[in-house]
Amino acid sequence: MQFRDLELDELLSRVLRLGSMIGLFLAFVGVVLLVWQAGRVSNPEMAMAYPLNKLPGALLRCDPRAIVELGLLLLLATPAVAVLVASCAYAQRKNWRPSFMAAVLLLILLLGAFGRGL
Amino acid sequence: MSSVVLVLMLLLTGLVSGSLGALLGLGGGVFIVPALTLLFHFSAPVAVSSSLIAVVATSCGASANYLRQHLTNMPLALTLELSTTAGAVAGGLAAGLVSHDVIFVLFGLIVFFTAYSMLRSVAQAASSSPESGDQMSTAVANDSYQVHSWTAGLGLTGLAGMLSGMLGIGGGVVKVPAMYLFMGIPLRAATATSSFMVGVTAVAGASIYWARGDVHLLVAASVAVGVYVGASLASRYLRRVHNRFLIYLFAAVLVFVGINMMKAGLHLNLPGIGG
Repeated sequence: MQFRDLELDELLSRVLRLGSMIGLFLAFVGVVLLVWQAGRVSNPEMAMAYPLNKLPGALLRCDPRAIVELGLLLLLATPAVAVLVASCAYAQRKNWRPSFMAAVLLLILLLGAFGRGL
Repeated sequence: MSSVVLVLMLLLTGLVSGSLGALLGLGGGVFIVPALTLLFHFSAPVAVSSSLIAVVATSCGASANYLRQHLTNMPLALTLELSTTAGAVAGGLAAGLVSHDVIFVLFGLIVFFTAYSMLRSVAQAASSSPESGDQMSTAVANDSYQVHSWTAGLGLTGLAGMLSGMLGIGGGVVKVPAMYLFMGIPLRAATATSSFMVGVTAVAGASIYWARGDVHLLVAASVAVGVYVGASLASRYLRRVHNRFLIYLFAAVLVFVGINMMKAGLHLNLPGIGG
């Protein structure tokens, strides 16, 4: 079975590394800011994620909780973005089977995430 | 406990879990969930969701390295992930319906299985011939191995996904043996492929917990950062543990953790951590 695609491997490696590092950096900055403001927020509030439609407004206010949430969402999106990149890359190479598998996989991920109203 | 102390302790928990996971070739989930439930007394859903997010972080780091070494079989990963991700979604949904005690008991059983797998790998390493290892390495280098038993592979990785979604573990402890023993994938390629798969699986599980409001942002972020840093430092500066005595010691620690998880799930009054 020939599976190796050196160019795609490099691309996916960069996507995974960059996405996870940006996500974790934002989450860490948000945690530091959140703890710094700990005197003003109660513990249960520190735990809660904003609904997605309220996240942009909270980010514009530089709300630390929103920054943590954005970081974690970026982290969670990273493997899904890698699957999307793989699907497009295989389609570009007319390697339809793995491209189709990746597309179906993305669909399952999206149904899992948004099927219950994330 | 003040927020600063809590965050520092969570970062430390992640750091230790990530380092141990990297040293032993495991994900950090088997350490994170017991630590968050038995030591910090967070609820099972909060512990499981935090662990899943940490698994995504470690998977991204590790699989980026494996991809750079061209060890990951992406078409295989994408195919097996169909059943694994569906399993993780089902497991995440099921976790919201069953009692937390069931999750504790299942987790205890998985921890016992992980300890058994570690001990078995020591026995296999002692009995395997250098020739078979060389043949497998050549197969990986030449990209020339054959994949078979797809049905068994899809079934077992689907089960691994379900366990991941329910218990917050990566599921590599099931996926790697499934690919290696049943599908004929060389161990290094199976490990690399599983490393990418566990991240995708954990995203599926974590999104269910997120939608249910079970993600504690402060806990999840602190543990994920700690695990990522711990795993990166350990893989860069420390060597993977092959010493038999240390593996026996860590297996004993896992058995102790497993007993305490079972004890919490079955409400037994035996001496141990977590009261």
